Amino acid sequence: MTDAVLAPAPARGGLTRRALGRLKRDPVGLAALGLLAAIALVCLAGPWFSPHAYDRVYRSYVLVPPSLQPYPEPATLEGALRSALARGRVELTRLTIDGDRFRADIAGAEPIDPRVLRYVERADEFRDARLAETRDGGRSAVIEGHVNRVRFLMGTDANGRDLLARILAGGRVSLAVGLLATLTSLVIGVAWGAVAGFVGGRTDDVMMRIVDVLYALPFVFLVILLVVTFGRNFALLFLAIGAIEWLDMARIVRGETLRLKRREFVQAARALGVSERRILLRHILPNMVGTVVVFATLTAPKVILLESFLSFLGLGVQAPLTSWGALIAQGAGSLQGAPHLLLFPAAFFVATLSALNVLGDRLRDAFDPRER
Amino acid sequence: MIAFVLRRLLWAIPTLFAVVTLSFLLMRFTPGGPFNADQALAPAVLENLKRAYRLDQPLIVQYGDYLARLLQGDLGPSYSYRDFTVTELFARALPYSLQIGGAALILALVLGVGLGALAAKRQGSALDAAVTTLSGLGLTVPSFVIAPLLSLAFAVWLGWLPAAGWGQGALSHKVLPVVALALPQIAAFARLTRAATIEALKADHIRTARAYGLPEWRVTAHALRAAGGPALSYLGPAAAALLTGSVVVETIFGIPGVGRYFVLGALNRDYALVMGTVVLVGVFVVLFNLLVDLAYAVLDPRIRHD
Amino acid sequence: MALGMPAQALTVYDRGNAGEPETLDPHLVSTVQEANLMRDLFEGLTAHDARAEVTPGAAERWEASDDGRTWTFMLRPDARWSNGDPVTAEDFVYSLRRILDPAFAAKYANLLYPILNAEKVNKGEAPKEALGIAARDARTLEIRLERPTPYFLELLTHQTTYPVHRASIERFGRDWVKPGRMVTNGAYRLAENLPNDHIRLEKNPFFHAASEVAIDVVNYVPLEDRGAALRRFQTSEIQSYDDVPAEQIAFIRRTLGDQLRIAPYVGVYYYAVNVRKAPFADPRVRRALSMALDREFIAEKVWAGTMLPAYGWVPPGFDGYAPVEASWRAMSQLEREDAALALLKEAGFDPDGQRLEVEIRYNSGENHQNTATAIADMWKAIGVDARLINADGKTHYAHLQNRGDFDVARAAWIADYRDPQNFLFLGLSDNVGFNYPGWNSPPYDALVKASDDMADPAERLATLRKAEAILVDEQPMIPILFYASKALVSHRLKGWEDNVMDIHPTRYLRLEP
Repeated sequence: MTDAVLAPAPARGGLTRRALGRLKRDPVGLAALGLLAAIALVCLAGPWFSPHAYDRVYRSYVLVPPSLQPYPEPATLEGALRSALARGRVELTRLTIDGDRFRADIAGAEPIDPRVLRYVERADEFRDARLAETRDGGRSAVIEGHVNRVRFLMGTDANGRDLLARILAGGRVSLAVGLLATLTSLVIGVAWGAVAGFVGGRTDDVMMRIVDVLYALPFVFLVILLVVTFGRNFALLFLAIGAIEWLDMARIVRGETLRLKRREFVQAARALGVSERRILLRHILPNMVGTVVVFATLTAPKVILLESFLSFLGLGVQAPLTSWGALIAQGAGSLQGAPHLLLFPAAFFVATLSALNVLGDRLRDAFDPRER
Repeated sequence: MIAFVLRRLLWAIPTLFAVVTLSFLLMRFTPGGPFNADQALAPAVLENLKRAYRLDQPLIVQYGDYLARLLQGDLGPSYSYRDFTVTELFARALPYSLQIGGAALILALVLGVGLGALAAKRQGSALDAAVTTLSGLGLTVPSFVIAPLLSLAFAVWLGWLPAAGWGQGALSHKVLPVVALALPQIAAFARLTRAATIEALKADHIRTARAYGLPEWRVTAHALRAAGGPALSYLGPAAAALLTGSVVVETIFGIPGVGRYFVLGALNRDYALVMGTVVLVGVFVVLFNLLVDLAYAVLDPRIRHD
Repeated sequence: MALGMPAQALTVYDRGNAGEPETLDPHLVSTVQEANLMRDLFEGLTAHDARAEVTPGAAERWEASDDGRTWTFMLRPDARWSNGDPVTAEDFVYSLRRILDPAFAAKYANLLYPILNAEKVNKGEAPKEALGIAARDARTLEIRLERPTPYFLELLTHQTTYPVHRASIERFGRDWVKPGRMVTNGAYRLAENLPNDHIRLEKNPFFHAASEVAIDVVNYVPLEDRGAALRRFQTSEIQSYDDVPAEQIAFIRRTLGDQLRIAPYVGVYYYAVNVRKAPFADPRVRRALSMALDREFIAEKVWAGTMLPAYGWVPPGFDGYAPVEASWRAMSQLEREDAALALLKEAGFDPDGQRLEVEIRYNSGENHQNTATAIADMWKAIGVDARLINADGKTHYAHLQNRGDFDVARAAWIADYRDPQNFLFLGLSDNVGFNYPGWNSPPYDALVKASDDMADPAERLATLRKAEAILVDEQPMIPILFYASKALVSHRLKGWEDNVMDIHPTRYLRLEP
């Protein structure tokens, strides 16, 4: 018995430990891991530090383009104040702006109702407005307050919500879906495919025909039925996606199992009296880690995008919460009109999945049982 | 081999029966029917419609009707394309999907497997990095982004190709949809092939072959043969998906194919059309998985179908 | 190449249409996009001109009896089918009996219920011969009505009243609508029908005004994806499109200028409130919810000016009918919010205590979602917590039409014919199919029903206005927006006149090179 034959079955626990050790010495892999961790951290913690809530509507700033400059732009201030005052039937006679502070002289036909301040407050451009003085028996007055400066680094959407805050909030959803649904599909797919391929015969036939049947089912109905029967449960999302996406994985794993179980080292192990279960777990599965990892990285983007279609059907995240898939789909709809709506969510999505792909490749190399 | 094919074709009968039955139940227990629309129908009119389509019959009778018709090769009348039967719709639309999907499939296979093998051969080179990065991008950028982007760039901005439409089958009308369909699959095949080839190149018999001084191209050919497995397994579902079209690519490029029937049929609750798509996919899946399993045996003679 | 071309090239108009037709049978169609096609293929007794005014169609003149219940139509002598056959009064008798046959199951048959015995025939309670239509001779047609119907001439422009060619239908059955078999009496005839690609119509040489039809061929191109349609318009692959991607309206305005057409349109976008259950049975709650909506913001920002704010139920654009507006229309938005808060307090709700919770149901779609988001935000200001629930269109409408439980649900209504009654019948308590809120107001019902039998148009419209005032006061349906028609029309295409029905028959259009 040569060393080469038994090589694919290292000591228990050694495989993972060795692989991680190898990954630690790989700068590209570490960079990818770092980027993933950074994105995850930003999405998890970012919303607490963001100046805007993901569902905060700024009616004054609908579809503004991304900019480092704060809003409101100085040129628009007077118009904004004028229209706010007009709603309270008061006119603006003079406006002076000094840094963050503004001072406005106003006049009306009737004595000025202090409630006019609410109109100014309601406008997104101003805050802390107060009546500084009144004159002419209340027919004219002075309002003082602050200009409310806000930044939208990535612009706003069609409801005037900060896109960055929405990307971060959506990232939580999409990363969770990507991770959990991919894992679900991985576990079911690998187990199903490996058993079918390894046992073979009638069992293989039945199991793979079940995969064929599920593949052809109209899953739109499956999803809608799930919603109707179980309500709009977030956990259902993983179940639904996992239930759809494991089929390809099962086919690939079965194919690999069929291939590997005829190999010399498996037959040698069998000759040595190794149990069937052990052959599958210790000799066959470790040898397809590479393929499985690569395929899992193919699955992740699919499930994240699938989520937005399920949300369309009513399963998954409900507005005003969002996800990367939903943001990208919306962005694709206004490609020419507001390209920032596509650009930024897509950038986050592509960066995350590219990092995942690189990491997948490196993990594959690290797990390679022949490489020591 | 012939016995294997026969046995698998025999298996197709219960498989398709299960597909049809489960889909029928799934579909009919889903809320919303073909006649629920934003403009509600008067109750008397709704009664007339249900009677005309025999939807007033018990479900089991409707199911029996459907099976009986299906056995005669009749997929029934469409509810959302009332001037056509489902069979007519497929007969017209399938050739378009097969053309676009077939071209995309060949492109994906040739480019994907080729690039993947090349990248594996020169693992760590600039070419490898380029293939890995591009395939990563190809996978992550969804078709509902790439399709409008292609149309915008090549039609609206550059004016080289038409924005959409079948255009009586002119080649210029097919380029963008084929590319949009193929891109993610090129990426998938490239990644699967690259990973498997790297593994195969390290296998003992390849090392031995190399040690014996076999020309490098023959070594690679040997390795590719051993590495074809994952790509082959993926080929079954990928071919079924490509050849039955894509609703996104078809609506964006105005291809009159069958892809849209899958999603729109379900969203419109066009019962007969949905069942038609189910049968279509069922047949494709059974067929392609059979072909793939046969190909396994060719690639790796050790796998026998017993 | 050039040698093979005919001396005079055909004028071909590629017309983007926002949806694929379900059928080309005029008696089975139901969507706006199908109606566009039907208008080119067929001609009713009356027709719409370029400005959507009623003009003579297959009938050259008509007269009504004094009680408004009997109409006599004289067909024009040169009315012909596209195979040369004359269009006869008997054709119309056959056609109306066909669409009202219960076995035929036409979706829009109920539109014809004003015709004597139409409802009974359609419900199978009377034989088709009982229908109030008779051919007095080949060119004289008599139609009797259940009640005076002031909008009857308008109704006769609708595709449900179009004649169909009996001989072809009897020969080919349901295949009569296929190219090569279909015989029509409009300005165009069917040449090709490739689902999801295009429908090609060619000029009908037998059409009575054929010499005035400038466009030889019109290709209807179905385009569901609005972004794709915009790109095809930009590359001149289509010369018009009857919708625009609202998300990109600013960009379109900037780059396409006056090729973007936006005009008022007879449709209302509303939220149905479930009045069958507390607390929504309380009109104060409904009024408060309605008052809190800043409709200008929704129309101008969320819909980018492609919709108009709605303060009443019936959209403007009906001759002789002055729009009804809610009493609080004159208030400023903050005053409305104060009043809404007071109303909610009276009804037992308090922003700092017992808050009102509302579930908004809507059918999935970018703009519906943005609208619901904006509305939820506006309700926050009066202490109402809104939760959004979406579903695909069929599930959404099945839920409403099957009387599923809901609080507030998005719906819309587009006029079938130009008359306020076509909006007000939605609120009738016996209108089980359409009255989603389940609203039941006996005075409202009485007014609308009474208007049916009024022969004097002014009196009738005044009665309908009174009814609308009740609905607008009680807000069982919260009107939010009135629709606007939106279209992309190339500079090359002449004769496209904006109108409230959004009707643009190809026979009135010209295409410049």
